[in-house]
Amino acid sequence: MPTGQDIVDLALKHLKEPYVLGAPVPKDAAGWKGPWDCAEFASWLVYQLAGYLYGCDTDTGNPATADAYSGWWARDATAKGRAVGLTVAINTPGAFLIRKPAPGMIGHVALSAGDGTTVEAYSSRMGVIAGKTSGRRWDLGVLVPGFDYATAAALDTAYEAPGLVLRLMIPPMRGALVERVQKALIDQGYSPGEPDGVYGPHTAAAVAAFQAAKGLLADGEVGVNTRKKLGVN
Amino acid sequence: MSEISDAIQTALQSALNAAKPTTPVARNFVTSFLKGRAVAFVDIAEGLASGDIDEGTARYLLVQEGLLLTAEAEAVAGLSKVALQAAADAFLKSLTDSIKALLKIAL
Repeated sequence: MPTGQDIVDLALKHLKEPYVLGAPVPKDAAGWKGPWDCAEFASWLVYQLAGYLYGCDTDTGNPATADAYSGWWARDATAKGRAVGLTVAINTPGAFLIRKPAPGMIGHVALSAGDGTTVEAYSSRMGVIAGKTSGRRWDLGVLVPGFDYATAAALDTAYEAPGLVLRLMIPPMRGALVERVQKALIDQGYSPGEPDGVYGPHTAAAVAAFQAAKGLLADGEVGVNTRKKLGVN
Repeated sequence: MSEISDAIQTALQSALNAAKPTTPVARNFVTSFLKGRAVAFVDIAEGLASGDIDEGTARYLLVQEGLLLTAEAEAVAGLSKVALQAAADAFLKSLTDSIKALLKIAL
């Protein structure tokens, strides 16, 4: 049985390869060198080592054309197992970290190296990177069935939450920070709608467009990196 | 807001007290995970105090943080067989009580 560390070792061979949002990846193409999308990269790793489709639109379809998506990763974490907490995922080489997509937005999937770092297809500017788990918002961790995982017994890898992240929620987030973000987007030529201090779908879409143009992860959420790029305190 | 920093230290100590007997996993859960999540509580409290987010948003985010802490305690307990719910509950209660008192809001 392949191990979680095998996933990490394979992923690390693909650092710096190019990223394209939504780029299809044939999961059965062992020599694929990109372009990668975050979920496509994660599903490709699983297929290469375990020989089955995970996080895709189909379990039994053609691996050459199966479509991977963060939302289907979240679905499979529940339906096929095993969804685990962030603490476990961060302390387990080969676990995956998922940020679920908001309606109309993209989410994200990253591979945990088990030591507080990640390997992930990140953005058009940075490609496949070794990143950090801390300072970022995650919804859940996943141990993919069919792999032998070794979780650090002490669970001692530190994780720091990202602080305030503006994002689509029901009810929507409101406040002066949202309004400052909206005004900054307008100043830079984007269309978040009226700067009313309500973080709705138009604002999220404008944020995603801004992020894509700046080579950031275009998830429509405003964390520290996006605030810096927008010049918003 | 130094009061918030003090509140976090108090909440972490409450969690450690509730986690006794303190196994390495329980200690790491408090000093790594709960301490790491405290950043989110600070940002929410500071955001509310400054008007960056309104009270409804702050209340919702704090509820979400509470749910996340509970789920996390369950997940770690499931793996380690160390009961952590009391630690998470003590941390959450101490910190939210402090935030309510400091900002004079109902959560």
